[in-house]
Amino acid sequence: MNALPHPSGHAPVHVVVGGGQAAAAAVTAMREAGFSGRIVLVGAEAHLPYERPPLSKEVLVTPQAAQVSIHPEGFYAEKGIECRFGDAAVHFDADERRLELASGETLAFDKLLLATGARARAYPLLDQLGSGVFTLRTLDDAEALRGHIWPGRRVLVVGGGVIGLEVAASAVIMGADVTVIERGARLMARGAPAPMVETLIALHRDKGVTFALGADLVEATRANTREITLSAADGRQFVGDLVVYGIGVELNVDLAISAGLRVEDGIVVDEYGRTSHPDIYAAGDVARQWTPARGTHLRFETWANAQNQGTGVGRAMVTGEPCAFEVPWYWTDQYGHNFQVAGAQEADEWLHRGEPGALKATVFGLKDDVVVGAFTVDNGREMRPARAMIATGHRITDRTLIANPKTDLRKVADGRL
Amino acid sequence: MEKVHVCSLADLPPGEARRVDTSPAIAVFNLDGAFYALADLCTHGNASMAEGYLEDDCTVECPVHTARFCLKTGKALTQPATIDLATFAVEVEGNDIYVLMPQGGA
Repeated sequence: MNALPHPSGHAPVHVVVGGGQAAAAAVTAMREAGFSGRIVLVGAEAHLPYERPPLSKEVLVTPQAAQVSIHPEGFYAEKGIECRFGDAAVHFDADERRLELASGETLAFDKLLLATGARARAYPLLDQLGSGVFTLRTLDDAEALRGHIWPGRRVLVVGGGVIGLEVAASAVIMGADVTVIERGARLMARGAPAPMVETLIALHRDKGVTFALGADLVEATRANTREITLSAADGRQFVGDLVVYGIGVELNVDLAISAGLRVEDGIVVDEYGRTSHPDIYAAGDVARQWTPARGTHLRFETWANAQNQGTGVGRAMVTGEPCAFEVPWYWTDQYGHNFQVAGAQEADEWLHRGEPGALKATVFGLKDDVVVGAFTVDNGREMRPARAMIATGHRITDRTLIANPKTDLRKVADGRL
Repeated sequence: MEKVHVCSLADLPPGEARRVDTSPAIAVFNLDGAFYALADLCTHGNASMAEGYLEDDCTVECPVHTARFCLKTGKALTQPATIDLATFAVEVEGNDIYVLMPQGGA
């Protein structure tokens, strides 16, 4: 059913709103699935779609070597994808099937994909300081921050999540003195296995990072010296030259809400990526997708989800096939060490292959002897079989066998052991 | 062409890979008795493809960010990689495995 003839006789038109990973994956998948109609990609940022993972690492530390564009510029023309970068979608009418852009252009579509993502959640207490306060969500954010970190600079990182810790690691590599300030009692509370967090904290402390947990900021001031002082409710004070904060995101759902789509912590979509309107689809950080394998709607803010769901929904818009379920998975790179996490992040028991805390390890999260999650530290080689074991609900019968790092997990995953 | 010794046949069993510290480094793979050689450094990030995950469909998956490459052609098959890996010829002589490096590096 590729390129169905349209009732009115024109070639079908797919418009994609969003310039990130999910959008780029979706337009690629539409062409790979044989869609020969018109594709228009609308991105508010004046950049080719780019990868976000390097923003907190290579773009800060080794900018000359950083590759961020997902596809080279020529790719879009080669695939017949019309681009409107630097132009924002401002409104659409789902029934009229027309999208209006900030430039004044109106695009008629047969199907529309919203891959509008999210923006950094604002922290007004810090924003009122004016200059010297940074977030990290876009390429422009990363490039603005880069010029403010140099040896000896005192960097206050507010928010102990993945972004905060990656920025902390990069700032340390760039020679800065770093303090990570977190309101909660633990780091990466939104999504990392507790034993992995232990390893990360030890790594950061070893590199000289200071952590302040349970620090609820109540005041932010700047002295005449341009020095910034942050004060916590319990009286602790933190002094620095600049602040980088990462306290989560706000979803870009305004377009969807104004068009009357169902939005509940994300644009609600079915397993095809369809919203509450059958011609409007959503994918990526902004989409909360019905997941038959889990019997619920799920939303993820990861590179892998943006890539896989973007691909799945782009294909579904052409072929009508549902998205495949993938075990949730993400990575974080800090100080050159690669951490990967898959599946559930809470478990009754963590089964270690290798010494707990080692900087080369695979660790399984178990519930009632069943593998529900896993993480690797500089051992990505074992993540593929670990993900397969999570997907199949592998039951551990011989803990000694699994705990032995010499046991070939590929053989365990495919039933040979 | 420069012929570089990799290891003995016994040291590279099926399903395994070895890194050769040439410049650039090369990863040599044994997929069920067929040998393939690719540039070892992933074109996307700082990762050794010899540490990667060898698949039965004649691909190798990067251990760090899971980009997949074709063992035969070096083609980057999945994101995040979009740049292909260089390929090298492999020769087996007697009980030893060699890779052929173009003069002056790849």
